[in-house]
Amino acid sequence: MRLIDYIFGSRRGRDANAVEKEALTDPFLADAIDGYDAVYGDHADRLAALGQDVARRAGRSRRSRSARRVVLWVSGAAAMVAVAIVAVMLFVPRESGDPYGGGMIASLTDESPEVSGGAALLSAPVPAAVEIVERESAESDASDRPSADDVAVVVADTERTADSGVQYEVEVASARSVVAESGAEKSKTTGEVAVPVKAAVSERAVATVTEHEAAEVVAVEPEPAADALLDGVVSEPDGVELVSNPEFEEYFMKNRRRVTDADGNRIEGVVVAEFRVNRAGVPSSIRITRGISQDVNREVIELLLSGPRWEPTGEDRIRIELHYR
Amino acid sequence: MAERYGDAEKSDEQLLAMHAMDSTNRYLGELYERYIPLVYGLCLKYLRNVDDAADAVMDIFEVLVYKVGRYDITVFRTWLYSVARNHCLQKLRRKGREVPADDAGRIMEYAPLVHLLCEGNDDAELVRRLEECLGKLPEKQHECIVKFFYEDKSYADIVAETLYPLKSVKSFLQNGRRNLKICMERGDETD
Repeated sequence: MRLIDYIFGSRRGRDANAVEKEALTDPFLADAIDGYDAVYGDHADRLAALGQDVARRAGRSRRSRSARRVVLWVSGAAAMVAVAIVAVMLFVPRESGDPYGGGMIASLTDESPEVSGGAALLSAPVPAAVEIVERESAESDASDRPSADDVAVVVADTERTADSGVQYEVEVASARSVVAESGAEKSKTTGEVAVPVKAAVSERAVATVTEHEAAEVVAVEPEPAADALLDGVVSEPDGVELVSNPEFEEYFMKNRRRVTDADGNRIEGVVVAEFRVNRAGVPSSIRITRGISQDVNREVIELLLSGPRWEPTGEDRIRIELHYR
Repeated sequence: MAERYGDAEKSDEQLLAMHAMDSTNRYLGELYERYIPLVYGLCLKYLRNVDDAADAVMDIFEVLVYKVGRYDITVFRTWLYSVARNHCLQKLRRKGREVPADDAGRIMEYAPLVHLLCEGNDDAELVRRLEECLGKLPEKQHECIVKFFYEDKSYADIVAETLYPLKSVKSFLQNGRRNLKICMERGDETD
């Protein structure tokens, strides 16, 4: 018997007795029953109205707040970059052959290599220069739930080159969590660079920075192979166990909807998903390491979340391959 | 390996996970709607006013929207009870009103006895001791305990059969459980 049926019913019979017995060991239920018994009112109408109000409030997008935060962070990051560059140009003497100033670079970086001259500076790998935005991630706080409204500009190791006038597009991801991973070298070509994300990226803001800015502040991931990227994430699995779950695979085959693409062609390929399984048996920190398309990748994530429960894996990640034929 | 849920009814954990992936609060709203009767009733108990209780239900939802992504929630229902109760207590304190005593501890203190009365036990000695203690109860307490726990009669049923007022029925049951607990514990001490 539901609480509502008990409250507004006759409270007679075994079902009512079961609710009353449950309330003897459930303080939430006991408090609620006490409340209805203590206060007179048209509770049925109130409850109906509250249900509608909650549904209306819940339907509002969280995107507007997220978008504002993205713009705010990007603006703040760009302002900091501009101030840093102006300071460099005004206050630090430049040596020949070193357009950026060795001393300045050394002071900006966390772990600067010894810089003896412009040539050394240009060729030496420079560790992460400036972390523009601190991110919250599911891993950093050991939570199974990624944080909302995460924004980060990926900063990674970079190797300075002598190229000039190259524009880099840095993808600022407003994602549930963003992983900053090291890259060996920065891209020398203009183009969108994928920011590794743990979950589907719900929105993106793109900031374009000049090569000067990029070299000092932002490092760019090496552009991954196109066939492996698409809208997914290129990530090298490292000791991640490949598992098979017949129960989930049966659920997947029965519930997947994406069988043809926008052009009507049959979708074929393999989606590889990596994730942990939390204590509730629900996949979390899901990452698509190999995808087919954004729609298909999202479908896989949704099916993982809505499907049968898994055995908890704690901090260990597992991998599953799902075939679209 | 897996516990499956039908398409129509997703578990609390599944809705929370889907909420984390969604850009709206619709899954959180769907989850919260399940608990509105409980939350509203709890708010009625503490705030003693229909309008205040309704406002509190919406305020608590706003708190959930803010907090749910920031905490590791193991059991949503338990966490929601804590959030809702604390919200009501804060409101009472701000208004300078008296804060009711916490019954949760007392409720859980009697949980083993209630479980024994409801479900029985394989331990024959324990059951024998319970029946012995039942026999020692005052008549009205014994009568209500038997009707409630062994005959599955609700409070309203017992009122109809015994003609005792509802408050008296609840009082007989509460005192009966207390006396049973004391009797059972005395039996443990003498063993």
